[in-house]
Amino acid sequence: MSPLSRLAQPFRDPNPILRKELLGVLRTPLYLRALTASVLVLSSIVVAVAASSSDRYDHAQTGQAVFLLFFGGAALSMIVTGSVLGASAVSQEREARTLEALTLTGMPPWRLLLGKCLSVFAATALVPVAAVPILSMVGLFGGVNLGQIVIATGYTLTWGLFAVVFGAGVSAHSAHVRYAVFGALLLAFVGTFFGAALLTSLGHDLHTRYGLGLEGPFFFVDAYSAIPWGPEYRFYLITLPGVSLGLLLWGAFALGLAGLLEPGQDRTLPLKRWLLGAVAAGLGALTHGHAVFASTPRTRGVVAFLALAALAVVCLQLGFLWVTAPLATNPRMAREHAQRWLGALTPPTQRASFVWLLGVYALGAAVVVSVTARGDHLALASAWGLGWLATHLGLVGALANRKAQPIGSARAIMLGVILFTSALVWLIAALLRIDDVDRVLSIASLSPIWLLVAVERGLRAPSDPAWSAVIASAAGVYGLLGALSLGLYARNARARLVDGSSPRG
Amino acid sequence: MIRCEGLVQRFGGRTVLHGVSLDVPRGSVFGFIGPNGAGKTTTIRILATLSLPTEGRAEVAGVDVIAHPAEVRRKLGYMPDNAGIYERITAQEYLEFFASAAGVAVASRAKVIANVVELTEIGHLAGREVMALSKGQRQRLLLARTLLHDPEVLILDEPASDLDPRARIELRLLFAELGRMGKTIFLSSHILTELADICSHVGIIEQGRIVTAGTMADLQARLRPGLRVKLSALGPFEALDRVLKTFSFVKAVTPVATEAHEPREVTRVAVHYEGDHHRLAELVAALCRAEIALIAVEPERTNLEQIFMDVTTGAQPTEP
Ligand SMILES: Nc1ncnc2c1ncn2[C@@H]1O[C@H](COP(=O)(O)OP(=O)(O)O)[C@@H](O)[C@H]1O
Ligand SMILES: [Mg+2]
Repeated sequence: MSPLSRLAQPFRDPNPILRKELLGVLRTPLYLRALTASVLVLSSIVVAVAASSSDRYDHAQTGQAVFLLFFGGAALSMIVTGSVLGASAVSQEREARTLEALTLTGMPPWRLLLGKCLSVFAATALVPVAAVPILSMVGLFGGVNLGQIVIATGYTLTWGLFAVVFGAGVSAHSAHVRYAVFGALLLAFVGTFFGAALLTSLGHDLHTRYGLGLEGPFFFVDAYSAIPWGPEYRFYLITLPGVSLGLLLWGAFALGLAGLLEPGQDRTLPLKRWLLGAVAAGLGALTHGHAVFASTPRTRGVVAFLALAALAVVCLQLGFLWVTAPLATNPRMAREHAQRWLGALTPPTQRASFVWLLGVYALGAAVVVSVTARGDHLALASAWGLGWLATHLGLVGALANRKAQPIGSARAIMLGVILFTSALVWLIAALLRIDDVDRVLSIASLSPIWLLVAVERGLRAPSDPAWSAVIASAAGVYGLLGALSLGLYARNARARLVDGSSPRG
Repeated sequence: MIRCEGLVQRFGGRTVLHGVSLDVPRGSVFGFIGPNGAGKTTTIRILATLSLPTEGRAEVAGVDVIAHPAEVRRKLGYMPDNAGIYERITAQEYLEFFASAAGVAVASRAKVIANVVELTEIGHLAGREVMALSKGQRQRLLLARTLLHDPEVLILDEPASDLDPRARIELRLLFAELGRMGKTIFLSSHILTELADICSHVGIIEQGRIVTAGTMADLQARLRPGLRVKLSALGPFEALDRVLKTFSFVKAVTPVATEAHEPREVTRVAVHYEGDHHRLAELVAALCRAEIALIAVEPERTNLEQIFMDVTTGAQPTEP
């Protein structure tokens, strides 16, 4: 097939799933009613806010408020509806026993997933698109220009697309719609929280330096016109969003693909491909950003960027764990998965991959140390390393353990550990009267990202006595988690030795 | 065309298939028969590449189902026992959807769909919503769908259960037609009579084990040697019995109940004898000579039901 006719192919023979789903949506009376209702709700809120604020603020400010409210609401509604509809995309077919007929047609899983994602996206995007006329009100007040509206629209649609693809990714691993919806909403909630926090911290830095009009996650809308063309513009406004958005979307899609592969296929293949791409793109972005780091040492933006990369690696590991759980209760599948994945993530059987993962962590630590131009390198690196090692051991322990036990009890154990350690930290914080939420979060969230932020702050005020308490509790918590995970792993290893057979089934 | 060897399937600690082996020759119509829970669907799902067996191997159209599932899928049409169906699309859209999904070329798609629609006689349903179709119409639509990619082998899991008699007969005619088109058909059923006429080969499964398999004629000869005939006459049973017992090749004479609407004087017996049709002619001549008013001579076909009753024990599957 020539490249040209390959390009024309989707138009001559459109994705059958996309076509069918859109037909179904348009013939669902409930959908049209819900669409109308949400547009009405959105517009009445906007009108109410505009009416109430117009006598206290000038016109431009009112315009901006309406603008932010509109896009904030649209993004939120797209995230919620996108994750819910995305989550039912594949699991509903599974529940209705129609998925098998589809797989038997030999349609490639990527095409199936693409059709699902596009149709759900089209259905959710219709809400903000149908509500766009409300924006004409902004024209009345002023304060926002057309370019900003275009960027904000693209931005909102991108959030929606994320929600849809992640939802579909979750859906591909769930046998029941309700679990998929729950999982996708949870993921959307956590993702929105972290994403908004990261964007806000990134924007905060640029905001003060360039005097952007908008703060918070919507700073991008202003940044494109306020920041002059140069290395920073290219890095923060082109490379960084491009690479991270692309990687996130690809990762979510890969997760979905993994869930649609055959019982006999290696379900981790899409994620392995993604990992290769992520490492390559990450290194490329770092190289590109080097000029920026060199000229502005230790900005919050850098921390945010690194945190984003770290989050991506965490997502990857969780994804690995998740896809190893076979959906069907077929002993042969369970056995093969157990063999393949116990091997891939645990030290004794496949030393190479373990060393490789540790190498990735070491590289991360090295990057942190090299880009944060001043400060106690040893403390930073050890905080980073401690966090990662504990996370890694936690995952390994959980994986090893869940292969030996019913999945439910392994999950309960891990959840218990997380809740207990988190509660412990809050308790310590309350006892010591530490009121810096950032610092408590840094430990309680068990996330190296927050730990890194806290370490950076601690280094700025080394004489702060509360700081040593934080370090001590961090060491305690991570130590506990690591020890427990090693214990779980060792226990399972012994059980397998005694048993002499493969675990479970 | 379809072959499996030593298929074992365990779910949890429970073994559902205990080494199922089957051989279905090309062009045959194979009836896979067994009570509910015998393991028919489990076997079929392995053949259709939808689940992996714990042990054993299977081939469809000469291709290993475990090693090359994608290739098997191209050659196989599978109709599940309780297939789901999409809401809010019409029968025509449903077929277009599956034709496109199966990769039928755009240029020939309309023709391919028209062909299967004609074969399964669902032309009048094209504009109807799939959800609104009756069970029988739905089965025909599903069958049309499985035929879209022109598979060599059709595997149909309980295609006729829950159908009314008319729909069942129509479906049976359709299978016979497909058999004539040279397709190998593998049908499962727990209802015996629905398959008897159209199957060339039969395999009977009970509690995860094949109890017997072969061609219908083969099974008949193996399990019920000798011939059977039903005679009806006017007069008492004893008169008939006396004449028939004089022949040494008659093995057994058993009275058969008559229908409620028949006159009381009608007597019917089942005669089991050895030999060919000349022997039967001898019997009829002897009865006439004895002035017995013979009113009917009907061959009693050994049907699947009798074979089934002979080979199965009727034991309930044991729960763990
Ligand atoms: N996924 C499964 N997990 C556990 N048991 C199963 C599973 N699938 C089928 N079984 C059991 O296997 C037995 C055979 O089922 P099946 O093959 O569906 O029988 P049938 O001959 O009626 O089609 C039944 O007792 C059923 O409960
Ligand atoms: Mg069945």
